[in-house]
Amino acid sequence: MNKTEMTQLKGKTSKVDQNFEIRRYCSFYLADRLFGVDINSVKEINDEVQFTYISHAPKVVRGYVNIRGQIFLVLDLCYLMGIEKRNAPENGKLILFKTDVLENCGIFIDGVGDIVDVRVDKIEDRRKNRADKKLDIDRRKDFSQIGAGVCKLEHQLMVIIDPRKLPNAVEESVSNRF
Amino acid sequence: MEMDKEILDGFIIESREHLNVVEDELLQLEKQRGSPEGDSINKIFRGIHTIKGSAGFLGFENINSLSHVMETLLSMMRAGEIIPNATIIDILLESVDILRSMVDNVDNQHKMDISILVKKLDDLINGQVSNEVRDDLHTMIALTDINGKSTNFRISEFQLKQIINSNQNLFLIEYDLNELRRTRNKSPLTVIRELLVLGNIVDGRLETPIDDFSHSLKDVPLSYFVLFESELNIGQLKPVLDIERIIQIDIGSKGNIEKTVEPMKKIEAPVWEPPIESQPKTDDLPEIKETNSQVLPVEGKSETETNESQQTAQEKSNTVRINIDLLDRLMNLAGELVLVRNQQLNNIDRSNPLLKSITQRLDIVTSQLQELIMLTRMQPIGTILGKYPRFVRELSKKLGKSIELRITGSEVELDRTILENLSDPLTHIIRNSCDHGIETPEERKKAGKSPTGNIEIGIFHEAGQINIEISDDGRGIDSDKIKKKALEKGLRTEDELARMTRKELYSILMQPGFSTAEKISDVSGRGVGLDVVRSNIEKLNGSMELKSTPGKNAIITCKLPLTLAIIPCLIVQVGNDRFAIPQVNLEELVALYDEDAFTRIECAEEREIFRLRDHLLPLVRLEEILANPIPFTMKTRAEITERHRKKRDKLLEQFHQKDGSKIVTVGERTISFAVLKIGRERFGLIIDKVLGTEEIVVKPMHSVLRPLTCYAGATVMGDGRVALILDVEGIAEHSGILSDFDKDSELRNIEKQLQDEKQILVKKILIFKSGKMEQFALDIREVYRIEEIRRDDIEMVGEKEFITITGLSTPIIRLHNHYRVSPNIEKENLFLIIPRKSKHSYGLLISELVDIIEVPVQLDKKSLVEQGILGSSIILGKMTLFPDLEWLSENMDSASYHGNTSINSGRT
Repeated sequence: MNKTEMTQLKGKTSKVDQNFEIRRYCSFYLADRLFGVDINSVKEINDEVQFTYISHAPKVVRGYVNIRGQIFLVLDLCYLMGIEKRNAPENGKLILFKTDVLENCGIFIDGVGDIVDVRVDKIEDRRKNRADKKLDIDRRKDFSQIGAGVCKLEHQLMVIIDPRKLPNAVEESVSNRF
Repeated sequence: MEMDKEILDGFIIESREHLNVVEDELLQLEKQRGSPEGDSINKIFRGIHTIKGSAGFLGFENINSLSHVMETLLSMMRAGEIIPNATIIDILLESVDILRSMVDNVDNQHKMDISILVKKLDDLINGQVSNEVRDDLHTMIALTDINGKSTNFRISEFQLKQIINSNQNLFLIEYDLNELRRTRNKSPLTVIRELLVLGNIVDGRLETPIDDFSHSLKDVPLSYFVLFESELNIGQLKPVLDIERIIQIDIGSKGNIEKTVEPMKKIEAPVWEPPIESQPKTDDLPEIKETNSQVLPVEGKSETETNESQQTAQEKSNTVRINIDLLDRLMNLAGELVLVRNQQLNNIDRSNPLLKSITQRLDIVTSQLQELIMLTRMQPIGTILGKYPRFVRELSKKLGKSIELRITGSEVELDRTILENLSDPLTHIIRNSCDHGIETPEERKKAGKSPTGNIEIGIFHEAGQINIEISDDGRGIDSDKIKKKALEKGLRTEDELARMTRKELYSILMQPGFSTAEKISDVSGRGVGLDVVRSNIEKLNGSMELKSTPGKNAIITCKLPLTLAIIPCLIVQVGNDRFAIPQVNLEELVALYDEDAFTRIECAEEREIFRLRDHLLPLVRLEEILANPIPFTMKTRAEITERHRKKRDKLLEQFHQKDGSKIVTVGERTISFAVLKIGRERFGLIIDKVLGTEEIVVKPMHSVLRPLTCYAGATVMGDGRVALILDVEGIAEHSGILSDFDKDSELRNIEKQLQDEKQILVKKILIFKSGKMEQFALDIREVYRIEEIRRDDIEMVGEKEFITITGLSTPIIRLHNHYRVSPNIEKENLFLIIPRKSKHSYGLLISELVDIIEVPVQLDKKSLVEQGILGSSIILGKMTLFPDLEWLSENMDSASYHGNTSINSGRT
C-alpha cells in the first residue's frame, strides 16, 4: 500500500522515483529517545505489564506476558541499544508485532509517540558512517544489529528499528551469556 | 495438462488409503485361503482399479501399467478363474509396496523399474488360466458405438465377456475437463469418484485438439473419454451424471466386433460427433439401441444398486479433511475463549439474574467447545497399527517362524502428536518380539507349545491414560542371560546383580547398547534397542514397563497420556514465581518440619542428599538453578552445598537456643521438595511452596529461548499470568546431578557406604596413631599387611620417601602431609600399613599400633569434614578418624598440608 503512495510535492513526472516513497512509522519513546518501527509490522499496542520473569534468559528478555491467551515474549531494547540503567515508568506499554514479522513477540516501551510519515530519502543509514565517533564501537555494533536507519524529524532524531532483526540479536545474546 | 497440486495431493492421499485397504484385504484373503470370499476380492479390485483410473488420468504411466496388470489378475480372481494362493498374494503384496513407493514419490514414479514385477504378474496370469481364457486375454477388440462408429478404445475379449456375462452395459462418455472446472468447479478426481459410485471405469483417455503445448491449456477443450461399465442404462445415467455426451457401446454380439490380436496403432484424436449426427455405418447390426428406448435386463436390481451407491456416497461425506493448522488455530481460539470466560466468571454482577444465567451458559458452552475441539485432534490408534499385520507376516517369513498377530482396541483414540511418534517405538517392540521373543516352530514344539506363536497388541484406557500392552507367548526373558551379559559388558558387578529384583534386572535391558540376542540378525539386535524405545516413549511423557515369565511370555506395557496439549502439572512456587512440573515426572512430595528441616539434609562431598527410605536422593535447589544461568560445575555445587549447610547449622542453633518457632520464621522451618524421576533415576527438587495440581495447556517456549534447557514450555494460569513449565531432565542436567547418574558408581558407592553405616555394622578395626594427638582407624579388611620398619631404612628420592619391602621399593605416605593432623612421632622403629587394594602400592607410615578390636562403628560425617576422611567415630573413648585409603592413593603425590616438611622437620 505504501509503495504506491507517492509524494505529490516533488513527484515530477510519471517516472517512479523510489526516493519519494513514503513510509509510515509508529514512533515510541525509550529513555527519552525517539524510536520508530514500520507501522505495517505492528499488531497492536497494549498496556499489559504483568511480566513473568524468565530466569536464564538474556537481559534483553523482559519476560513473558499473556495477551488474551497467547503468550508473547517481551524484549527490553535498552539492553540492545546500549542505554544504561534508567527508571522505567510504571505505565509503560508494549508494542506487539504481527506474527508474520516476529513469532509472538513484542517490545517494552516507555510511551507511544505519533504516527510519522517519512520519505525514504530522509532516512540515513548511520551504520555506513564509519567516521561517526559519537557512538562507541560496542554500541554501534549493538545498534547495527537491530537498527534500520536514522531520520531527522522536525525537532528530534528518530531511530528506526527493524523488528525482523530482533530474534538474531536475542539469540546472539543467549549464546553470549556465558 | 497443468498439474494442479490439489489434484495431485488428492490422488496421493486417496491412493494411500486404497493401498492400505488393499493390503488389509489381501492379508484377509490369505487367511481364507482356498475359499476366497468375493467381498475381499471386490474391495481389492476396486482399490486397485481406482488407482489405475486416477493414475491413467494424471499420466502416471508406471503406476497405471502396474495397477493395470494387477487389475487383470484380480479380475480373473473375481471371476473365479484364478484361486488365490500364497505366491499370488506375495506378488500382489509386493506390487502394493511398489505402488505405494511410487505414489509416495510420484514425481519420480517413471524412474521405477516395474518390468520384472509386471512380467511376474503376466506369467501368473498366463500360467494359471485355461488356454481359452488366455486367448481371450490376448484378443483385443476394437469397440464401436451403437451407431457403428469406431471409439478408438479396445479391450480384451476376456473383459468383454465379463461385461456381457454380468449384464453390464458399456458406455463412452466424454467430459470437457476445462469446461467442467469453469462451469461446475469439478475436479477430474471428483468426476472419477462420481463414476465409480455407479459403475466401473474400464479405460480412459485424454485428448485435446491442439498440437502446440506451449500455450496454456486452460482455454481449449480438454476431452476426457471414459469407457464406462455400469448396470444402469443410458437414460438413467444421463441425469445422474449430468452429462450429455454419453453413448452406448455395442457389445451385443461378438460377430460384429472387429478382432485385432496385434496392438492397435496410435490413433489421432477424434473430434467428438454427437450421437445424433453420427450415421450408422453398418445396417446389419442386430439391434440398434436408441438411447431412450433401452430396456434394462433386470430393472429391479439396478434400482437397489442405485440406492446402495447413494448410501456409500453419503457415508463418504461424513468425514472431511481439515488442515491441521486450522485445528491448531481453533484450539488457540478456544483457549482464549476459556480465559475470557474465566474473567467473566470473576467479574460478573451476581445480583443480576439475567447476567448470571447468560454467564452460566457461556461457561457450559465454552467447556463443551473446548472438549470437542480437543477431540478433533484425536485419531484412532488403528491408523498406525494397520501396517503391523503385514509387517509381522513379512518378518515371520524372513525368520522362518509362524507368528500370528492379534490387535484389540484399535479404535482407542489418541492425540495425533502422540500417534505420530508412537509408530517407531511400537515397530521396534514388535520386531523384538518376533525376533527374540517367539521361538522357531521346532523350539516351540519341544517346549510343548503350539508351533504358531502369538503376539497380541491390546490398547485400552485406564486412569486417564492410554495403555498399550504388547505381549508374546515366546521364550520370555531369561534373567540369567541378562546377568551374564551385564557382567560381560561391565554394566553391573556380580554383587549388584545378585541383589537386584527381577524388575530391576529388566530395566537393565532398557539400557543403551544392551541386547541378549546371541546372534545379531538383520532384523533386530544391533544393540540399539529397548533404550531407544524407552526414551521415545518417555519423550511422549509416557512410561514403559517390562514383565516376563521365562519360557512363557513377555509383556511390555506402555502408558501414555491422552494428549500432550493439556497435561496435569504440579504448581510450585519459588520466590514470587510459579512453576509447573509435569505430573508424569513427579514421584512424591516430601516436607520436612522444624528440626528435621535442618538435620535431615546431609552433605556428601559437593552434593546435598536426603535419605528417602534407604535410598539416597540427591537434592537440587530450584532457587539456585534459577539464579545461575551457567550449568553447575563441581565448584558451584560445592559452594551452594556449603552455603546452605552453614545456613542450616545457623538456623538449627537458633532453633535450639530459644523457642525456635519465634526465632525462625515458618518458611525457614519447612523444607519441601518434589521427588522427580528421569528414567530410573530420582532426585529431589527443593521448592518454596507447593500450590497444588492443575491441568494446564502447554505452549512451547519462544524459539529464541529454546537454548534454555530448564524449561519445557509456558502456560497461562487461571489468573491470566504466565507460568513456566519446568523441564525435569534439563534441570537435572543443569545441576550436574545427571552426570552423577551417568558416572553411576559414585553415588551408589556413597549409598552403599551409608547403608552399611546405617546398619551399624560390627567391624573389626585397626586402631593406630601417627602423630601425638590423633587416633586413626582402618577397617581391617582394607589392610593387607603391617610391616615393622627401621627409620633409617627410609630412602629419599627427591622429596619422596621410599622403603624397600620384600625387594620392592614402596613409596611412603605420612598422614600429616595430607591431613591437618600433628606430625609423625619420630622413633627408631615405625610401622608401615600396606593397604589391600589400591591403584598404586604404598605404605602408610604410622608411629604406634593401638589395638585391633571389634566394635559397632557408626561414622559421623558432620563433626569433621575434611577431604580424604571418610568420617569420624568415638572409639575407646577417643575421637577416631577414618582415612580414605583410596583417596590417599590417588592423592599421594600431592601433599596438601605442611608442604614438604616431611622427614627433615620430623627429625629435628
